[in-house]
Amino acid sequence: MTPSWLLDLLAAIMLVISAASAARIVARPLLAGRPWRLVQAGTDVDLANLLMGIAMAGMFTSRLTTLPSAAWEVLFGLLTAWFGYRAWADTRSVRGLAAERCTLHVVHCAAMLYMFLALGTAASSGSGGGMGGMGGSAAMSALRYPTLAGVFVLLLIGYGVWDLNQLSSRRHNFGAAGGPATSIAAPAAAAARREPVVRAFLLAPETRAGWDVVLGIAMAFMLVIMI
Amino acid sequence: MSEAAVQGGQAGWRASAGAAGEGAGQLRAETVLDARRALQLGLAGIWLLDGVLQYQPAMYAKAFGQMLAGTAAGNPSVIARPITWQASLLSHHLVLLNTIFATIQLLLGLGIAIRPTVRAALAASVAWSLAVWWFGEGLGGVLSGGASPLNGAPGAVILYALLAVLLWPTDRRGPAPFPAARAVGKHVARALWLVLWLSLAYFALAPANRAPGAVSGMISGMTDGEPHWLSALMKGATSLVTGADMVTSIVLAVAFVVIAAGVYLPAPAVRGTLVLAVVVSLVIWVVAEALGGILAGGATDPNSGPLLVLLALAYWPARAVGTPTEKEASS
Repeated sequence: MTPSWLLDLLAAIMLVISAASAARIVARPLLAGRPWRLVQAGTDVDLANLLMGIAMAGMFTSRLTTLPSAAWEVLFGLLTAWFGYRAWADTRSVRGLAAERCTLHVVHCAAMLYMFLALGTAASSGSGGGMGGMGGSAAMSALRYPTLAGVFVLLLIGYGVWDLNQLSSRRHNFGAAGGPATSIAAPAAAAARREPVVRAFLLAPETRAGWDVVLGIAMAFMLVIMI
Repeated sequence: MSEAAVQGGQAGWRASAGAAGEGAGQLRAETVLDARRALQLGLAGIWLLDGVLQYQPAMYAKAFGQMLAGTAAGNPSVIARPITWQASLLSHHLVLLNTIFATIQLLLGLGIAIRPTVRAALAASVAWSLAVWWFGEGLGGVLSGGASPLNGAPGAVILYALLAVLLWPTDRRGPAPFPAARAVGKHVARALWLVLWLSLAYFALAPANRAPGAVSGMISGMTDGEPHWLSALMKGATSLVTGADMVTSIVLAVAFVVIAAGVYLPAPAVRGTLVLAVVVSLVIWVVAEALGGILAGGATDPNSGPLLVLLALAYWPARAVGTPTEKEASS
């Protein structure tokens, strides 16, 4: 059995990412000088990361379970559809890299949806485990469609490796991370340079790309456990 | 990684996209990635996958230590004794040591993916691979007679070390004919390729691997727990080779010899040889190695198939420097 302290540690990391994403959602309108306009560019990505962090924390540790499985399925179903639409729209307008980032979020949200559906199926089929954290992961051996889980694992790791290469190359403008909705990224980054280091770090597009990497690897880990 | 290697563009491709976002036009990114860096990223991905797999619940069970101890069987005592000692140590400190093992592999993947740490990570991966090859795989069964190209001979993990050496981020003088030659030179790179594939031909013809029922038994033994489509594919392959184990071994050996010698041929023939190598590697990976057993749970790595594919791609003849095609530019 994977040690519980390791799962707790991962759950804590997920909560940190959630908190950071929440802080981004709140801080970016303030920084842009439009505090009344809560829905800023890239809010959808931050919201998705916020929800993914909370959901995964609950999957790692049963004590942190928040919403029922069905609610998460609806949420991640909607997010998958939303980012899928954006990826499709970006591809149509030949915004290659924006589509690439949106595709990453489609994969993240679809992987979350798959996990909740698979866990729900395992629980309803009486194999135990259910949503009570991954501590009871031995009961997940009856996972349906393991090939799909394997495909998600490869995609998540592939995106993670690619993003790490891009982040360390300093050539990639992660302002594209939010796709067309990141029109605020460049001025925000410029403004952030005048802000304290912590705030600048929190609001940097690269930071969000880093969260994407961590979330992706954590998801791959969870999928492998479920197989 | 040297800047020259990053920008070198031997068989590199350039992807660029520019588009105006809503009123901003800030969506501008340019990525230059050469063939060797792409292969390094492939290697990083496989290390990351290994690390993730090593955290599985099955690796924290006593059976994992017993599995490692089992690799000592048939090896000379000088090789077997440290394996037994290490397996015993692992069984006493299973949680701590397995977590360390998994974390090391995760860090190797991250280190190779992050450019400033690629050299350190590749160097560490060589040391780690050699250690795992001995203590975790019993030298891949090379000395015990259990090695077969169908079960990952000469030990999947030694291929990680080989790739790390061939993809080392340095460049010798003059243009290299293929990415693997950039660090060690074309003669050494080709010699390594020759030795690897000839050794696979030798293992394919080993008495234990051409005996009646050897090949079919090896394939059918991997079907447990696999998804339906994969086990059906493997059962089909089993029925195909049943009673023809000797013929299958000979066909495999001939293919390996052709692949081994192919890198010494002119460029067009090299490409054909490498395509054959990729196809053979994928067939072995899917049909005989069951994708490393990943989909059945409890696998420690994806086995040798993806590594052999990466290796073959590292020998793909390079295009003239700085001439990415239009297709590459648009991809």
